[in-house]
Amino acid sequence: MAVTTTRPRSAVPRRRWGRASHRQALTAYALISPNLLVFGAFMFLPLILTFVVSMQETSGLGPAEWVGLGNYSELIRDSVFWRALANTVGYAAIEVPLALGAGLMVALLLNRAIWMRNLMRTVYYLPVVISGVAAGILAGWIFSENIGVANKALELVGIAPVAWRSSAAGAMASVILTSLWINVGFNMVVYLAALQNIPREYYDASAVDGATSVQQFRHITLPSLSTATGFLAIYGVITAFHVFDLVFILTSGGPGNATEVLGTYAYDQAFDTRARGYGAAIGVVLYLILMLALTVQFAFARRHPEEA
Amino acid sequence: MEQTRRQFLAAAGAAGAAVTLGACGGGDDSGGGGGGGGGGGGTLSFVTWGAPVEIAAFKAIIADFERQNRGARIRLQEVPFEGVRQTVDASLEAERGPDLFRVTYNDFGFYASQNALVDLSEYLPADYGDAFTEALWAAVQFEGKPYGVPHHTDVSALVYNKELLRTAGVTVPDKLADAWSFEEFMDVSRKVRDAQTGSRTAFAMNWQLAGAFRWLNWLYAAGGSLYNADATQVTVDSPEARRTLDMFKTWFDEGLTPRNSTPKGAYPSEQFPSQTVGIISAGDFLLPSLEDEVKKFEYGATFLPQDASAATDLGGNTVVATRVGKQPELAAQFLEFLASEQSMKRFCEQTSVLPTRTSLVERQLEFQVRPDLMPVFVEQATTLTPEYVRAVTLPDFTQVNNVFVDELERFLVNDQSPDDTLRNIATAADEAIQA
Amino acid sequence: MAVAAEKRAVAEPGRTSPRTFELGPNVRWLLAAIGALVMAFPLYWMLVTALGSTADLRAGDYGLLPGRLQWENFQAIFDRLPFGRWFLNSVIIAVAGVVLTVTINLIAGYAFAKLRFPGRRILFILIVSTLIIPVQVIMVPQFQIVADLGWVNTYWGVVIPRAAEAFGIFFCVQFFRGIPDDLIEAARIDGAGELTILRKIVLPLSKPLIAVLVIFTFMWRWNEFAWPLIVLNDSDSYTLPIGLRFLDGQYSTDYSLLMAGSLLAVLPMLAIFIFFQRYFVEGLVRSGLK
Repeated sequence: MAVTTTRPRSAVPRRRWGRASHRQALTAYALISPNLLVFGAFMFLPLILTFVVSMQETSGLGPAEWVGLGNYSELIRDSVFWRALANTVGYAAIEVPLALGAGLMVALLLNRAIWMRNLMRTVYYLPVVISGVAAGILAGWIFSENIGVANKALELVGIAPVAWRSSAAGAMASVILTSLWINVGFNMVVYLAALQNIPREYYDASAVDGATSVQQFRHITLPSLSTATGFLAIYGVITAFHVFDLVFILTSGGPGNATEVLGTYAYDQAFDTRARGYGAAIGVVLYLILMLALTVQFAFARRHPEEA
Repeated sequence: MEQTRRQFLAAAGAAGAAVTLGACGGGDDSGGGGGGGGGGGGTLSFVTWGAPVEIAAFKAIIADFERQNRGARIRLQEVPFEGVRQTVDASLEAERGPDLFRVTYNDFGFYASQNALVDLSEYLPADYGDAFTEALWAAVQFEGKPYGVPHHTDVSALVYNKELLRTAGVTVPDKLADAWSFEEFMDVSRKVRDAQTGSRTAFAMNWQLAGAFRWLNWLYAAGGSLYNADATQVTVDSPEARRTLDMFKTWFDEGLTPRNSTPKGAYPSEQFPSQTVGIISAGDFLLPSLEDEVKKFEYGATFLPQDASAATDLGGNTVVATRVGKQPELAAQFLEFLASEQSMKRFCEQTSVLPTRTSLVERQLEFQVRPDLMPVFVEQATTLTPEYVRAVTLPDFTQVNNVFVDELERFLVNDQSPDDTLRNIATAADEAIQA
Repeated sequence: MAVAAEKRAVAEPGRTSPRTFELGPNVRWLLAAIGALVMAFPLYWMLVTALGSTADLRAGDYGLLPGRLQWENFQAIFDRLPFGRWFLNSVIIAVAGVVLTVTINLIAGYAFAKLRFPGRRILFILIVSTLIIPVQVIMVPQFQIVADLGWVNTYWGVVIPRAAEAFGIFFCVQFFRGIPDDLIEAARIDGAGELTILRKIVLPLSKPLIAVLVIFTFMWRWNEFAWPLIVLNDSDSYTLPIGLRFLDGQYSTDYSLLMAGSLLAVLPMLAIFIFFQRYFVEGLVRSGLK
């Protein structure tokens, strides 16, 4: 661990180099150790243990029974699991691009100095700081089928009321809409900052060359945003797969598992149905699928940097 | 291995907490370690859910108990019904109490079978159980020993919108013997639906998630059953069962019930005040909140539809003492007090639930809320059979109930076939008696 | 709307209105404003219905503007629930979390950014990889560990397992990379010890970073739901999000009460955000633009 100092590899005077780097390393380890301790004890250790627990059957109160891969084989036959998986992936596939697109659109609109821009920016960002629980409760009230304001508004414009709670599509829509409300502001702020970093000269120069705004957007704006987009896309996918609070409060996974996601299903099995091992197995699958999704994303980003 | 690991971690945790301002450990009593603290008689923690009237009634009884037992303190902890299972399980697993908790008769078996509860026969007189109705005393037994006191029971009956049914030209039976048959009930529903405006419908069933087992009301009324008499065989896959499922399907197909009236869907107690439906099946414990919420019309109560026989569900809860609690004797004392004739009478009268003591069952209680409607529930309660009680108080019944929720939801919402539904239910029911 | 926009603006060569898609500034403002109204409506609605009467709300009898303002709804929240207690719990946990997390993230971030040591890259990747792990994956064993430590239902049980926030370290590393190496090298040559450098040179420069970290960590702890849900099971120990869920469970159809409670729970974060907007924005900007 400590660096030995007798045979330095650089041309810097040995004495200094040796002691200094030795000291640096020691200090560094000391500085990162609290973090590593917490991560180790409360992230990595549980992560490993989850694999272990996923191979057991236990209710939490009684003794644990070893079942090997039994939970996993049961998962494969579990239609609710497949539904939760489909819901999780589907939700991410729809919500993330929409949130990115909406965030970009708003950032574009707000980019130039316009009246009340700061106020509007604040308004768009406010939902980000609200807890998922509060958002879920608010959404539950707004989307209440019989007396919520959403359906009342729809009726006013002559559209039939949507079954936000009792239909699969309606329920998923209410979850996605609420998510968008929460997430757009975040994406907008990052895009705004990125947009403001694009040098004016690029546009001036291209305009002199006769470029239209569409061409400018395609060839200047979008590529300059690729880093921000990449970051937001990855963050968005991670957050989408992690979704829990909102679904838990707004729909509890219903109606009939229509909005059940892997996070809520894992919790439900572990703590409500008292099948801890099974819940852990679902957690493991969730983790692996997220890893897979991110790997695919990275590979895609590497191959098509502009379109990231 | 388990033990030493726990000891080590407990010591580490205690050391860590002690070193740094350990007093910031938590809420008032909870940080110090469960119910062991305090001088005098001691403090007990009591976890429960409840409607506001029930909590108030509990608090009044607790106040009485504390007055009569100087130095004793019961700390009531309210949790939402959906969260009570996780709360209690987590606390038990962490061995941090609670000393007492309220639990449905259905879920009671699980805790009893996991050795989490105090065997009350050590603290109660030998003939204690004689004062209670047979069915309810059986409901708190596990392997022949009592692990809780039968605190109260509830049953479901029908609650209906008086004006609406009058408009629909429906006469309501006022005697148990005259309760509507299944066919009559379907007719009534159709009439009510036709008398409704807009997209409103006739009837909503009180599934309410964990109440999915109330399907058994219809099953047993139709002459079917979940198990045979001594619960050694699963009998649920039967023509009677299919008849009930058919009937449920018809409710949906003919628009007699709202689309979101499913096990995981809306609660009838919300749909009734807004007149979304004209009739609901409801437990008696809902009367206080219905009185509160139903302002725009008058409502009455009548009996559940009958067929080959009549049935209703075993609702209600027991209160139990846990083995991780540090003062089992005080806990048992409190349980005895809670289930005493005086306390039970007060509790039932204030909260519109039904007593479990035979002396009170035979007496006319002075229910505070809608004393005109309670007799219907009292009479409906006489249709509760020992077989029904047996079936729903098996230790693993909660698992079966969970399957009810999922399978019936799938049957009603995802068009799963009756064959598959019954087969899955039968499988789960079978697993429950194999254990 | 799009057709009208196209009719309005014409792209003149040489004019620098690069990202407008042929939309004039007025149209852009209008679109932005409409969007802002839609975004703001739910919060507005929360306020209006929090001051309304549940009986009216249940009957569907309401308009967009508030009727009689029932301020007593807020009092009802405190009367019926231990809301003050929950608020206090949230504050304690958030503050404790901030102190702990900001400290350990700061020092670790500096080490990763500016110090050289074996295993630096691997450890950093390992730490960032924890971003992927949702609570639901580790909750079962994590609960067992916390239970064994005797931390169920305590502030420790909530704060410590979440004390290390990978995002926080990420911010710190990004920030510290911006400090010129020469500054630190010079100090080293002058004989200053590593910790002295940290204390006397780096920390004073870190004020903006600390501000961002404090704001974000506070928000994460204040809004956290899933983990406290598992660890806190004494209603006196609840934090606001758990308390809100309890409110939702107990009074699910008492809409004005629900909204009043929700409003009270989000008000602190809203206030903090409005006052410290700059830091929120800065934080995001730094993380997004590598």
